[in-house]
Amino acid sequence: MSAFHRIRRARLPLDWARGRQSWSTLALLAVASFVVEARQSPREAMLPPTGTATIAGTVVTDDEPSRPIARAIVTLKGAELRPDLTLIADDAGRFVFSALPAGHFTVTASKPPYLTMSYGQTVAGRGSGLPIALADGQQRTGLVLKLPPGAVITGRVVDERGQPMRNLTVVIEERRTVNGERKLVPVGASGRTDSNGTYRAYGFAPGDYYMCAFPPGDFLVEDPAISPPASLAVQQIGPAELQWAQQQLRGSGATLGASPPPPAPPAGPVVAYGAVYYPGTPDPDRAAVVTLKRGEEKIGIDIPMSFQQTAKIEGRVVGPDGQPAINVRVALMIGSSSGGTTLPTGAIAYRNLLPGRYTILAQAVNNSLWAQQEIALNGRDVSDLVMTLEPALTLSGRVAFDATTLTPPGDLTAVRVTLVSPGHGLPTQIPVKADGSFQVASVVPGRYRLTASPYAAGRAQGPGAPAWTVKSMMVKNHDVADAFFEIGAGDTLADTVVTFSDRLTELSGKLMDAAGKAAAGYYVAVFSEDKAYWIQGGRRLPAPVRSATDGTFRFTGLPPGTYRLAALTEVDPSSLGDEAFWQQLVPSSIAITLAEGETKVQDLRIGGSEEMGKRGSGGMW
Amino acid sequence: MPIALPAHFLWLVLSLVFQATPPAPTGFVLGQVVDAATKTPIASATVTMTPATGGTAQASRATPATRRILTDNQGRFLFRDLAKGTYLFSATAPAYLDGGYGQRRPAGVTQPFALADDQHVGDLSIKLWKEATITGAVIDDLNAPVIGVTVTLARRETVGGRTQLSAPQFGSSYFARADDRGAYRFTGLEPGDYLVSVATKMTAMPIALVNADAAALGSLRSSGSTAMGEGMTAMSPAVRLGDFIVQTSLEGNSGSANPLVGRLPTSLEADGSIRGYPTTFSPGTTSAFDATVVTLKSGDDRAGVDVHLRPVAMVRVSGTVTGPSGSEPNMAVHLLPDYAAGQNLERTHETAVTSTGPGGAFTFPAVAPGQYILRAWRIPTAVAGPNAPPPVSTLWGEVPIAVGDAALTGVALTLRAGLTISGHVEFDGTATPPRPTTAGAMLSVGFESPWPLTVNGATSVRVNDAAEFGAQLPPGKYFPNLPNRFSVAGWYFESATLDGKDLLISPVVLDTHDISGVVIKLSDRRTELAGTVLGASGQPDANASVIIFPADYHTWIQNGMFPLAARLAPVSPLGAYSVTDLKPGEYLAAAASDDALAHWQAATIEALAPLATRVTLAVGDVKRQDLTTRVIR
Repeated sequence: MSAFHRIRRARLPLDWARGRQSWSTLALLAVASFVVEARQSPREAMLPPTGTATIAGTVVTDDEPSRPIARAIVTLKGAELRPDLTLIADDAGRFVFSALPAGHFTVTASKPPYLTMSYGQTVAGRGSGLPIALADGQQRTGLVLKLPPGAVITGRVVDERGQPMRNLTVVIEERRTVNGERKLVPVGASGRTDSNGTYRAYGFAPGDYYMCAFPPGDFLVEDPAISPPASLAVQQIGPAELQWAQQQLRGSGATLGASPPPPAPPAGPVVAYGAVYYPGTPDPDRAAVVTLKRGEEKIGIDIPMSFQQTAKIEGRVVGPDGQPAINVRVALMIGSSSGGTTLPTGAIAYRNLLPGRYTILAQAVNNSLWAQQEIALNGRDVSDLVMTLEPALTLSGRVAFDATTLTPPGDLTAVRVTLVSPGHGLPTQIPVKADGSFQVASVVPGRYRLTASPYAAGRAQGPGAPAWTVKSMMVKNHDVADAFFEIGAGDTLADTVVTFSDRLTELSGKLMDAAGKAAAGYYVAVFSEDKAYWIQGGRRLPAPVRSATDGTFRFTGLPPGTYRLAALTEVDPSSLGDEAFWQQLVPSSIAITLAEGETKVQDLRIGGSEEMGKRGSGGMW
Repeated sequence: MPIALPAHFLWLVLSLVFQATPPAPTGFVLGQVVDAATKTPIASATVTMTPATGGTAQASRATPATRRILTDNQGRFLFRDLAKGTYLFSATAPAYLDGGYGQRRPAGVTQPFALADDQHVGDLSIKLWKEATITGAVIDDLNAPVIGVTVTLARRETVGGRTQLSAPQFGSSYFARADDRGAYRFTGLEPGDYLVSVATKMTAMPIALVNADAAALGSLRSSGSTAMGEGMTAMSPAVRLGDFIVQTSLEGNSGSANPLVGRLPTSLEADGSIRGYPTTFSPGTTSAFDATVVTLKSGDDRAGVDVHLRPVAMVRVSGTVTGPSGSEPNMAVHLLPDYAAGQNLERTHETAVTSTGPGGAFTFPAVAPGQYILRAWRIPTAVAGPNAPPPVSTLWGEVPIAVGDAALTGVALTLRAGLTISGHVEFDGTATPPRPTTAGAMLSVGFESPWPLTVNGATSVRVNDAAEFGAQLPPGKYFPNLPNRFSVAGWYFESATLDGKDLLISPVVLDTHDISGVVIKLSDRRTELAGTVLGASGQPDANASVIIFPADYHTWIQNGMFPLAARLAPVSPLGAYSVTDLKPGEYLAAAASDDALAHWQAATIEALAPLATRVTLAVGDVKRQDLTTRVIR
């Protein structure tokens, strides 16, 4: 997947740089996450590898007979390396990483237009590489990384008249389950369409994809208050209007006393191009799937775009007393896009809006008042919208430290507690007082997650030092540390307690086959027994890891609790957000309990033990 | 209100109400968008109408500020319900350059259109010129496509009489990405001279330095290295190259990435040597001086402009940076190719950036053979008047270096301290002078520097409430640079002097000591020079432009043709021109064909001067001067 990933992260900001508000917001968020990623890495020990072990091999094509691939970028990752080691293979595809310490390493090679593959990875775009267990001084040579060719999608984007649409981007999407919801997720993008309207996107693993063409420089929402009106919304003129104008021109200077000029015909509709899915629908649910085979060049995936009628939303925001609200901050949101602005008089006026489901969130007086309205638009204007502000909720509580070896920070104002709303733009940073108490009075009902860090922004612990982790976050007597939670309109949110602990759990073990030999390359999954914690990316649902060449696996930092442990042959990363995936693992898994700070070793035997005995439908043992 | 009213009284009230409401505007503009060369109509073009400044408030209330119309299949558009006022009409269409009403050449200036009350216009024509394109492929020495690499376009153009290379950092039409066949495409190009390149840039930090202290990164960020500031920490993960952490080219600056060439420009060989792709211009040269210049006419589609990349052995370049008070640790050191210096290529074509460590030592781990300029500087940001001294002093220095096949060690870069230019602003007039620091009247003065310290090549200095300013700058020659930086409504540039000498003629020379007493004078009376341009037949010439330049043009050309002292003005369809806010002084004014003046240079001025008309503008002068179109030989 890394090839796609790179395209997505590098290319979209470029190609969409001239996009409007929502896309800039997306790009910004993407950049922000890299900042976090990059800031963490330099602070960890960036030491040159010290050792005498070697990993060497070649990068070749995956056909028969295989041919060397020249100048692939080869990356070596391992807990012992900070940062990763990277080199370019030579013209014969050879690479050598020498002077390595003992440890577990994965090797990944990439060279467009081939697909990126890790050593031991069986299917491009799925699963992960096989960790190589390297002993002190071991010479592990002769690794072969086979890169399959990536598939290409190309086609034309045409306008209403069948003319080429130029300079637009086609985004390639995959259907994935994210937190239980099936949706289309971008996995790549084409370069801009050329003068024939032709687009081309490359580097795709075999699979099912969906194509979405975005109008050039377009944006779904136009708000003159956010940015100057420069989108593609245009007014059409009809023959009646032109006829009327020409008649007027001929009539000027006509005889006195002639009949008054005919009334002007109504002005034409304001239309705009919106995003369109192949084979020509704005509705993602009606997008047609395009199946790509290995290395295939799929041609003729043409996307016709057509104008859609836009609409206006006009109205006002009033206070709880019914009087016009001043200095209201409003955000107009559609999907994950949003644009915010401040309304001095509370008057709402959005225009040139494409069909879609919009949400308007209004907040005023330091966010202590809020209102929200959902509107489905389909080319018809909405006027006289009235949004009435009501008081926001107050969330209060304190932070606590459950310390064994570390000393809690002296200055608790540096502790960061953040309320994150998946739907509502930017996270809310909750200020923590010196005594550890916190309070925020601007919470709008909705779905949230809390995050917390005991470290001030930009400051982190030294390399390898014991660290604080979040032990629990109690809101309304429920631990929400790994869960979304709903805040309802009348909720009381006092006595929230965020507890940090310095005791990290560790779960490790060795996977063996029936004969007791190390079983390398299986996926080991650990997941909370409590389904409430089956949240993708949550601490109690880590991504499965592959057993290394010596059969070992390891998970650190799992919160205390009861878990299930299972082994699989293959994992489709797109299914990790699907509850059914984890559910089907339960019968063939074993239970394991981790106490706070516990270090547990649990070996697994494939096909041998009673608990793991049955072969599951998903290809597990 | 009485309950019973006579009918006629009610009628009277109503009619008063009606009279109080202004009638709906009834003007309209019917027009057509056509191809400038073939005159064929352009369907599905978007025409945008914007009220020009000076439109009445009533007009802007009655009609939305900006409207867009899609042309029908005969290229026609209609804007209705227009009030009296001045409007700008622009148009965009696929495969055409953006254009507008009154435009006479590709990317030329447009003209406002004045509409009278209830005027019906039926023949407003907007010409659009076809865009030009450049296509090609990026190919390596194995004859394989280099996939995903960012290709950068630079333009050779004449601006303010000076020829320069420029590759805007922003503006996606100057960046393209090679696809899986290595193919790239630049579209939307104006006629002109272009250079195609694949620029690689390495930001390198010794691992030891990264480990030791994140302050080194911080210092790079604050020392003006945006690449370091944004690129190194934000955009992409660093990769290791021997004892160095290196990062990508162009990322952070343009938002684009070079997955192969940029992400890992070089590779450490088993024998410890380093090979990598140097910045390469089409067809395959490492110097802009030897690059193929692609000359495009309107609508040209130039294919086959390939860039051949060839890995070369790279060497280490190391040395020390020393300032007036000893070694300078934690300082960004920039390595520029010689051709980029003084051009607008300094950000896009920088070769490498690193930071000095303890003792001011720096090392670039991999530099291709070539001619370079090594630079380091520290410029305090905005300084508010001489009473607020900068927290850090200005330091700067540069040294040319030649990199060959062997490692270059012991390069000494000596920094000099900056010197101070200070002075004050005088308000010459009867109007109440603005408070320089109030919002909306933020007054600043600028100085054009000897080499670009900022993107614009000028540094801007805030003026404090006592109307004083001061800046610490590297030694060099400085001209005042006001109009773009000056935004106090109702006040116009009158003069800039030092000890009574005109700084537009003899610039400030910062060499060995501070300069104080610069006087910038602003007047509340603007100059205006207007007239009509007549062609050879004695009829108004709508195809001309007017150029106005200093009467003492020899000195001005010697000084580098400072743009503040010259003005190029368009001519309306009726042959009229008008230039306001010229600083008082002696000028020569001449008219010539728009084409001849579009890219005027020193030679243009020399040729026109004997044919030009002398005009003297004193403070507040409003003069008329008709001109005759001249032919430049």
